[in-house]
This record gives sequence, C-alpha cells and structure tokens, in this order.
Amino acid sequence: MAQKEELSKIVGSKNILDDPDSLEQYSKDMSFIEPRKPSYITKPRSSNQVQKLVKLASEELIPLTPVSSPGGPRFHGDTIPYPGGVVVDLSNIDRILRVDRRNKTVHIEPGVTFEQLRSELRKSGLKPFMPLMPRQTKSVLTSYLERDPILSPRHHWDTLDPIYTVEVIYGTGDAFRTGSAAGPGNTEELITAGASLSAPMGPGPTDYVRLIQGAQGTMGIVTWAVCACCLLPTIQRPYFVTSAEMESLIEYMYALLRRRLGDELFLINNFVLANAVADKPEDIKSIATDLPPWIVFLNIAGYEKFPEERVAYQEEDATEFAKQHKCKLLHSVNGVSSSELLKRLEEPSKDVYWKLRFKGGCEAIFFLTTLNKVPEFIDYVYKTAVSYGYATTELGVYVQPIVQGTSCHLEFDLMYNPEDVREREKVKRLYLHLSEGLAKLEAFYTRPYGAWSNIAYGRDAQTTMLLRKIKNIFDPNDILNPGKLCF
Amino acid sequence: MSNVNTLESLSFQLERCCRCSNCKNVPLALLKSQEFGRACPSIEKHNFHAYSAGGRIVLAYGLTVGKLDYSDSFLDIVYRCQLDGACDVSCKTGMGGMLEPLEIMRALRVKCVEDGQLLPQHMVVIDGLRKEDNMMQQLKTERGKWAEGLDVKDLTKEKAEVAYHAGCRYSFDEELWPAARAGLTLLKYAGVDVGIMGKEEACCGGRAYEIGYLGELVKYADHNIETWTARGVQTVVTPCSDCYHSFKVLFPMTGKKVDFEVLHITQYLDRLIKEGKIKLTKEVPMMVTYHDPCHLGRLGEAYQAWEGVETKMLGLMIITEPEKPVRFGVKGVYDEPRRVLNSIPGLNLVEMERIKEYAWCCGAGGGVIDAYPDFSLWTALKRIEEAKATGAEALVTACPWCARNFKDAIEEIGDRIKVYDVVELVQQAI
Amino acid sequence: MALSRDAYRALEAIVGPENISEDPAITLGYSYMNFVPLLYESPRLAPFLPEAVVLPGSTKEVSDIMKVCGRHKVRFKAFSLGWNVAATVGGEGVILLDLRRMDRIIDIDEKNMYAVVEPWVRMAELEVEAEKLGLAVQVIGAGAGCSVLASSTSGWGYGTKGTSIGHNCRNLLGVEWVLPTGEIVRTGSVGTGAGWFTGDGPGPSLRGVIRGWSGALSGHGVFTKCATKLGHWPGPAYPERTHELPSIGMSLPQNFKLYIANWPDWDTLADAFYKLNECEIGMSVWATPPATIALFASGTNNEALQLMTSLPPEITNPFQLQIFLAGSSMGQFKYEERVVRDVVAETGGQLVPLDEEPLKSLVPIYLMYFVLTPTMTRAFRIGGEFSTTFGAAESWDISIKSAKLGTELISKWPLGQVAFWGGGYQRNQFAHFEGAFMYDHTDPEQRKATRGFSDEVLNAVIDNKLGFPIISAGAVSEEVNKTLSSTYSNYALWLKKIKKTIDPENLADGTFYVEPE
Repeated sequence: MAQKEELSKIVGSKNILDDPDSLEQYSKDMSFIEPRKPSYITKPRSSNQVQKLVKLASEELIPLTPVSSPGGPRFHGDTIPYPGGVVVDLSNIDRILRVDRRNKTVHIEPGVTFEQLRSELRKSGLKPFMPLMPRQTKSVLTSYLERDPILSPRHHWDTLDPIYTVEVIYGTGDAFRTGSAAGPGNTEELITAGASLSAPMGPGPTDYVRLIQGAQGTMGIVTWAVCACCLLPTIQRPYFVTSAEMESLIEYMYALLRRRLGDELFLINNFVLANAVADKPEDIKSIATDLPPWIVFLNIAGYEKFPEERVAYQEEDATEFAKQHKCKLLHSVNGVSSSELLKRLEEPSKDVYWKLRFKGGCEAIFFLTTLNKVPEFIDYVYKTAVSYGYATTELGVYVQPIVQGTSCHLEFDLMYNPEDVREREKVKRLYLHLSEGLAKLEAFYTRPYGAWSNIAYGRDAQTTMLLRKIKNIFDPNDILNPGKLCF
Repeated sequence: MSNVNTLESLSFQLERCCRCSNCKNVPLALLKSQEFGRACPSIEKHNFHAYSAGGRIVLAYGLTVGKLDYSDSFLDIVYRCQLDGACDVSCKTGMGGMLEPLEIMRALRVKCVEDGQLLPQHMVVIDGLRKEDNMMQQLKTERGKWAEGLDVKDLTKEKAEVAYHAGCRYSFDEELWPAARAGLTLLKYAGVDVGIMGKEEACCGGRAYEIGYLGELVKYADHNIETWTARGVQTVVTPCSDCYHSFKVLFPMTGKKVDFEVLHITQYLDRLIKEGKIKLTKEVPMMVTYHDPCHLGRLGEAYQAWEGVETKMLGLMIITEPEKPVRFGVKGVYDEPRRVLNSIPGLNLVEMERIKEYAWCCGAGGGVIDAYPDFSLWTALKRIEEAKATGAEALVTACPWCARNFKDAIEEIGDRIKVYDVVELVQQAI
Repeated sequence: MALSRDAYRALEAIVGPENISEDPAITLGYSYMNFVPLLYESPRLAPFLPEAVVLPGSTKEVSDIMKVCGRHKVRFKAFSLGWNVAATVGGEGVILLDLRRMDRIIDIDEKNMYAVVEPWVRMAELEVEAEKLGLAVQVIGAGAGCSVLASSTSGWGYGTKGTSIGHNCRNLLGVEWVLPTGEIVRTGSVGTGAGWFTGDGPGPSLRGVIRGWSGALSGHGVFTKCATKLGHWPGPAYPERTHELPSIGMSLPQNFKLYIANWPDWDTLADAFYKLNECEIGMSVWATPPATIALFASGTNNEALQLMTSLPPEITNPFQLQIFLAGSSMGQFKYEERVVRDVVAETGGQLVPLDEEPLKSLVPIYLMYFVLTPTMTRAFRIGGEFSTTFGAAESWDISIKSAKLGTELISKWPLGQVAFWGGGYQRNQFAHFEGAFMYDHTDPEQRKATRGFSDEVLNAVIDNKLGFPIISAGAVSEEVNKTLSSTYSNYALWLKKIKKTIDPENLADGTFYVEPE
C-alpha cells in the first residue's frame, strides 16, 4: 500500500491500475513465456513523471517494465513484468511534438502509433518508415527501438535507422539526451537555432542511443525520439517479381540493393502474401495455393521532382536485371495485385493483426543473416517443420534486406490456434527446436527475446560479460526490466 | 658553385613533414593492388616509423634540435635504406617539393660522415675506393679485363667521340661481363666512334656520395670530367645506371660544368635503332618484364640548378621565386629501354605493377648491398615475386647492381626466372 | 618512468626482439606529428615520447601485451597510421603499440558489400581492391592514406562519398576489440560466429561504447579488426589514369560527371542543397571553398597560385556546390543530370562550364585528389599546417549558420580565411560543415592565433547552439570534456563510468578520450 501511495504521488491515483483484470492483462502476451503478474500498472503522462518513477524505483528497488504500445497483442515476452514489479505504461504519452519537413524528421512520444503518425505526416508531404503491416496498437517508438525492420532497405543506412536521437531516463533516474539532441542547451533552444536533432552520434565518443536500441527497456526508458521520415511519393509502381528458383530471386535482390533501385523491397512466401491480402481468413489457404511459392515485392516511387522519369529509369533497370536473372516483373500474380499489397503495406493491419488472421496465434522466429544464406535456413526450417508434422503450407517466410543489403532479417511465422492446447505445445516444441538449430547454422539473434537470449548470449561470453558491466553503469540497481536479455 | 644540400641548408624543411605516411606507399593515385602497393623496402622490412623517409626526417630533426644523439640505432636507421627515392616521389605528389626527403636523407649521411659516425662495413669499401679507385675492393690494375679481346679504342692513348664507361660493378663482376661487352660491341657494330679507359677508368663517385662521402664524389667528378674533356669526348655512355645518375645528376649538382652528353646505353641503342644503324631481325621469343633501375628512372631526371628564395603569398602560401624545378621522377629514362625491348622480334614485354617512377628498388643501392646484404636480398626477392606475378620468364634490367642482386636472390631461393640486361637481349636479336 | 626490465622482457617474449624498441631514435618518430600546435607550444613535437614502441603481429599478441601491461601496470596507446596529435602518447610511461604489422584485408564480401580489415589497411589499398569487385570505400576527410579501421572505429570528419555511402562511423559493422584487460570482445554477429555483417547486438549494441561522433583514440583498448560497409562503384575495375605525376587524373566513362554550381549567397545555396539531396542523387554532393580546385588539382604551390589567379572567376565564388554523379545506368545518370540542372535553375544558381580549358583538364585530376583518392596532404602543402573548427554533425541549416559565423570570427585573427567544406551524410539526414584554415606552424604567432581562434570557436558553438564541435586536435580530452559536458547532457559523467568499467586499472591512455571518475 505504501508503494501505491508513493506511485500515486507521482502519476495520480487515477493512473494506477491494480485490479485483477488489468494485472492479468499485463502479465502475459502471446509468446510461450510464462505469465508473471505485476503489482501495479502505472500510466504516467509526462517525461517528468517517468523520471520520478524511475528514481523511486531505484531507491526502493522496484523492478520496472516499460510498455509503450497502447494495447496488444504483444508477442515477444519483453513486456512481461518481473513478478511483483511495476509496469510503466507510456501509451498516454502520445504526442507528435514536431514535424520538420525540411529535415524530414518527426519528434514523437512513446505512445504514438503508426496510423496516428501516418495521418499527421501526410499533412507535410511525409510518411513514416513502415515495418511489415504492424498492428494498429503498435508504438512507433517501440517498433524502431526494437529494431523492427523497415520495408525500404535503401533508406536503412544503419541498424539504428530510423531512430536518430532520444531522451532517455536511465535506471539511476538521470535524464539524458543522445546525439545532436544532447546540446548545447535544451531541445527548444536547439530547434530555435535550426537544429534537426537528426545526428545519432554522440555526444562525444559514445553512441548512447545504441545502448538503448534493442535493449528491451533494460538500459533506460525512452520518453521521446526524433526519427527519420520519408517523402510521400507522388507516384508509385509496385511489382511482384517471380522466378522458378528462389536463388534467382535472391540474386535479383542483390542486383537491386547494390544499385539502390526501388524503395520497398522484400521477399515473402505465398502464405505471407495470402495472409496480407485475403479479405477473409478462410480464403487464405486457397489464395496461397494459387500463388508462386516465392515472391519479391518491389515498389518504385517518384517524389516531387520529375517523378515519372525517376520511376521510368528504375523500371527500365529493374526490368533489365530481371531478364538477366530469369525473373519476371508483374503487376499481379494469379489475381493478387501488387497495388493491393502496397495499399496494405502503407497502413497498419486493419482490424486483426495480419499474423493472427489465419489461426489466431503466431510465434515468429527471426534473426539476422545475409541474403545468400537464406535458402539454407529455409531448407532447414522446412525439413524440421515436416518432422514435427507442421504443414509448411502454413508457415510464413519473410525476408527483409536491411542496412542497404549488407544483411537481412529472416523471419519464420508459425501459425497455430492458441485455444488448441496440443497444437500450441507442438508449435512451442518446434519453435524451441528451431531456435537452437538455427543458431547452430549461424543465425544471429540481434533481438534476443525469451529463449533466444540464452542461445545468443550463451554463444558469446565476452560480449555478455561486458554488457553486464555496462548495464551496471546505467542501471546499477537492476530495476529496469530485470530478467531480460543477459541481465 | 656547389648545389649539394647540407642538413643546415635543409633545416627549414625538417618541420614540414605532416606525417601523412605517403612515403610508405607508391603514389596512392597509381596503386593497382595492395599486394604490390608499398614503396619503401626499409619500412616494409623493419616496420618502425623511423625506417621510413618521414622517420628519417624526424631523426634529422631530432639531431638538429638536440633531442637525439648518434647511436648504433641511429646509424642503423640512417643506413638501412637504399636511397632509392620512391619515398621522395610519393611525398612530392602531396607536398609538391616543399619537402625533399631524399635530399634530407643524403644530407644526413654526409653529416654522419663529417661527424665521424662511420659504419665499419662502409669504411672498408671507402678504403678500397681511395686506394684502388673502385667500389669493389679490387685491384685497379685488374680493371679493364672485362674488355679483353674487344678491338676498341684505348682512350688513354687516342681520342674518340664516345667514351664507354663500364663502371665498377661491370668492371669486376665477371659473371656480368657479357652484358658490359655486349653494350660496347653493339656500339661498335653500329659504327660508333667509341673508346674505353680500360684500367684507367675510375669510379663515378656516386655510391660513395650515397653513403655520405661527399668528398669522394667531388674528387671523382673533377677527375672524370677533366679526363673526358681532355680526350675530346663528346658523349659519355654507360651501361650502369648508377654511373648514369652520377654523371647526369650528381656531377652538375656539385657545381661542375658538364660539357659532354651523358647517355645510358639503352638511350643510345634506342637512337641507333631509330636511325637504322642497328637492325634487329632475329626472333627472341620470350615473355619478359622490365625492372626500372632507380638511378636510371626516377633518380635519373636531369639536374637543374636553381637559385632562388622561398616566399609567402597571401600571408601563408609558400612559393619559390623563381619557380624551383621539382624532381618528381617523371622525366627519368623509361621509354627508351621499353622501346628497345619492343623492337626485338618475338619478345613480349609485360609490365609489373610498380614501374617507372614508382618502381620497387632492386635492393642494392645506398650502400645496403655492402652493409646489410640480407636486407638487400630480401628487397630483391620482393621484386622477383612481383616479376613472377606477371608470368614472365625473365626479368630484364639495365643496371649491373640490379642484375647482381636479382641473380643472387634467385640463386638463394633456387628459382628459375632468368635475369638479363637489355643489351643482352638486343645482342640476341642481331 | 622507464619500463621495468621484467616488463620489457615480457613484451619482447611476445613480439620478438626485432619488434620492440625503447631507443629514442625509434620512439621520437611517434611524437613528431601534425596538429601538435593545437595542444602544445611546438611546431611538430608532442612533449611525451613513448616509453617503448611495440609491433604486435596478431590479435593474440595484442591480447598478451594487454595482460603484460596489466601485470606490470604499464599504460599503452594503440597507433595505426597515426596522422593526428591525438595519436601521440599523452603522458610519461606509456608504451605505444604500432599496429603496422597487422595490415591484411581479411575479406571483401562482394555480395553483401562489406570489407573486413586490420588496422594498417589504408583507404587507397582497400579501394583499389574493392573497385575490382565494383565496390567503393568511404572514409573521413583524412582520405586515401588513412587507416580504414581508424576511420571507422575512431576517426571523425567529413568524407565526400558520405552523401551516398554513409558516415564512416555508421558504416562500422562487426569489430574485434581487445580490452585493456586482454579479453577479446567481438561485437554483434562476429561474437556468435555468424560473420561480420553487423556490429550490433545481441540486444544493446557495444558499438555504442566503441565510438560516437568521435572515437576513444585507444582510450578503451585496441581494435584489431573491423568490418565496414562499402558502396557501389559503377565504374571500371581499374579506371584509366591520365596525366603524369605529381597530378594524376582519372579517366571515367560517360556515366560519371562533375558539376559545379554557384549561388548568390549561403541561403540560396542551402535551399539548393536540401533539394538536391531530397532527390537522392550523386555519389557526392558537397560544398567546398573556392580555392579547392586550385589546391587539389595542382602539384606545387607555385602551380596552385597560378591556377588561383588564372582560373575563371566563377570558380572562386564562395557559395559553391560540387556534385559528382556516378550513375549505375545511363538512365539513372540522365535523370540525375536533369535534376541538377533543374534545381540549380530553380534556386537561382549558375552552373560553371567545365568542358573548356583549363578546367577540362583539371577536373579529372581534381576528382582523383579530392573525391576518389582524396589526398589531404595537399592541404598541408600550402603553409605547412592546417586546422579545422565548427564541424558539428547536425542539420545543413546549422552548417550554414556555422559558415556565416566562422567567416566573421576569423577576420579578427591573423590567420587568413576560413574555408568551409563539407556536405550531407546519407542524403543529408545530417550534415557536416567544417571551417578549415591553413597556417604556418613554424610561426609562433600563428600557432598562438590558431589556439586562440579555436577556443573562440568552441565558445561560439556553445553560445550559438551549433552542435557538438569537431575539435580537430583530438576530439575530446579531459579539458574539452570539462568545457562541454555540462551543456551536452553531462555526457562526461557517463563517459567516465564507461572508462572505469572497461579499463579498471586505467591502463589505456585516455588523454584524448576521458580520465576515469
């Protein structure tokens, strides 16, 4: 009770939840990780309140778990709190503080969602960098901080992108601004002077923001971020690219990536495409059956200056490379149009999150590798799935080149019915088996959720030891999301 | 008036090295690969910065400002360098002659000798020079044997338009005599009025200067110029690149008036082939690669005396008035040997990566062959690797010091690549 | 403090007697350096000599050396090419690790467009090998002669290809890092054995600790390998060289072209810059002082002066952008050309004709020495030394403000003009504009003026909110940290903790990084 009073003094009693339903809701997500109930859920409304919460937690050794998305479903286990800890739900801190058209940046708070952002940016002729059909309730800031890959590899220069700078509250309760937002002076003064707050480096000889990204809230709680935006295209030409051989599609992607042709560019299997475009869940299987097994999606955009010419030369070059690599550029495949997919990609998933449409549940395995190794991984996953009696026709595959093609995000989506206990158990076993096996094939879990953290950190003792020491600097009392990663 | 630089006259340059390390590579704009992109044998072997041109400038600077004193290490650094000048070429592409590393390194050696800091290995050689007028520690009386049997004018007894100066290495290295003889024979074949000094031939003094003995250079410059002038020599031709460099560059640099034409044998042959006086008709079917001797190439640019001052423009930019000619190494003798080789029927000339003004040294120069034979051979082996990378059956050069070092290196490792002088291949084609 | 004989023998046992020396004839060479007058009252000599110089040949040797340092409490400093006073040791009793023997290009992954290198691989060396595979290299302004690893892990500044290839520090992928304790950390995917393709993760990225805007300059260990992202090179595997030394030109095919355009003032130039970058064109788009062509296309100062006085007056306009197009296809090239012409016209600019002499002959040389094989040595050639100021990574508008202010400030100092050069990274996601000036480092008055001007700029940057300044001498130092930290989110407090954590015995020379708390 004393703790509740302390918390109330900071956020106000109306912004504390401890009813059984709320505690139940925040105790779990759709991952296979066992639920753990917090003691309270707090809903601060300002950075100042967040800072006070962290200071209190640091003094009283209260584990905090930050959450930014204004609703689920959540999937990775990173928001499941420490038993008896406190959830810091930042979703009410949800303003778009500033849109800077000239420097193509936007200054956002944690609770801002993709649809909210998209609508606001349109007014300035901009759009956000989108991951693959995020759910309606997904926090933009969380998506970027957690390294959700964006669809446009040519605009992904570095792992950090599209995050530029952040304000973070460290586990000590200290506030810190990273990169060129650090100073001199406060952010208002910097903006008045003409700053864009868009240089992620520093201040000085440390990239503080890199210690925050991917940290699942264990290094600090971000209260705002300045992020990159893209120009809103004036014309777009979406294509599907198909080939008899997956290897041809990969070589084709390499050719485009090297020359920075196209904007959105990724590879999916027929099942993912079907999930994306089907009007009704019951249509998914039949749509998938009619599609080629592998499809590259390529969108070529024109902007303000000579958009037609910009698109024309890229189409010409893309077509030429398609010929060289025995691929075909198509506007539709078996009744599914590329424009339809593009429309879906520009917005968050309508209604139900796309991964849940088929059976209501999905466990994704994803990691980083390089494009040329993708076939090997797919081969392994498919064979293993078959050995578990899992139908590969119901397995989603998504390959997203990142950092301009130097690596890629490779994702396998295992669909299952969460109400079916046996099926859930089977998929869980398959998921764990695959997670281990993929690591042995050199999959790199850059986002080590749940079981992956032991796998990833177990393979790199030196990094683990150093990270623990670094964590001790920014969160000496280990109050920020304890039990996650290697902490 | 002598234009030989001293450390004192160059002292204003000693603070100009900006530490760019360009002296360690070939001019970066001309790099063709990492494997064959380094320029300086000394730092390639010894790795400490001191063993680069930049490092030796620090040595000179340290000595001048009292931060360093002579020591065994000091001398080791000074003399483990062929003075091949590759560093000088690379430095100047950036620094434009504001800094002359080769001049500084030579001046540093002269200072060492003046201050009595002598390498024992060099003392022996200089002793021999002073007694027998040659750098090979051989008897003067034996000089000239290389030409026995060749019916050629004796310049000690009669005049000739052209003096053929074999040089110390050719005079006493019997294995190389065929090349020395070939050069002379070709001139005679072409009807050139040529003579030799025989056992009265004296050293050019160039190598002695390179190891710091400036007095010897001056002495031999005086002697040779006087001798040839007295004999009405119009042209001095030599098959030795070191000697070419001495006559063409060092003699004028000492302030002597050089009234005769100086040619390397490859230049003369090129001329004779153009004039139709030598016709190459026999096939020599071989793939070869050509090694540019440092003293013929980048160091072989003609010397241009300059008297002027440095001045600042716009309060900052340092220029010379009148404009000082800068030796970038570009005007060395590169084309003539290649034209001669390309005139040989059936011969296929392929180039190494490091050529002309940015060629890798053979390893013999600067007194290294005498003081540090292991380092000398190591350097040669690197060049041989590069030659073999072209696929060539033979490495061709135009200098006996290069030839000697290459042959020794090849024998050391038991390789099969052959070594020829240009003149030997020309002779085969007649 | 002289190295104990036990320590010396232990080090010698690791590297061999030929790879260690404490002789002043060897060690003095590592204290003679450029940029010295910014910190010390001397034209070229930093005040401290290394206690010994050690040449390790492998990561294991570096690790063993660290352990010896730990046992004997010997401080160390790592050194690759060493082209900045920040490469010198910062105090007595520090041994210097010259990493020259570690000079391999480990791999160039053509498909995934990155290279893995050791410390002594120079940009020009990597570039010539990368070009054979159709790839291009980006480094900081130090250019073709600098260490790729040093540029990626530690260096700072502007490199022209940053427009299209990205910023050197952000192109850094996996890193092999020997901590002062001797432990070897391999960041990101390297550590788990997955390859060199990313330096981030698992989870939070240790790249964040490795470097920020600047690096630690050996203040937290030694980097022995790194991977760096490369760009696309749409040209020949070995472009034909033209002209002769000292100034070689590069003959490039018709999908390459340089444009130069002038604007009436900074503000119109700024607008044009934004528009050009929005169109995502060019291998490089940068602004440069008017004398740059004369400086970089000339082989001597005499020649530079002749060019400066004889080149067409349009070339000397101070409000100038240079745009280097390199089209992956003729379609792309033609589109980009059209964009250039249109933006220039739209924003009140004027293109400078480059297809007539003398500029026609100079352009291939200029491209070689300024863009493709950048030779910063030519900047030193002018007066002997140069320095730089402003240079925050921030918006281009901040860059322009810096230029206006810098031009005004330097007029009070006997240092000639300040020459602003820089451009945008990643298509102007952030920009960099540094105010460089040349001076005679042998003139005590000029040295004093350089330090005075630099200090004035530092304060002006803070007062005018112009980002985190470049501080050419050595990025940060204890003194700089004291000046800046409180106005930049107290970063030094965290930096000190990081230092203490990674280097508990304070063995890594942190003079140009931070001293532990």
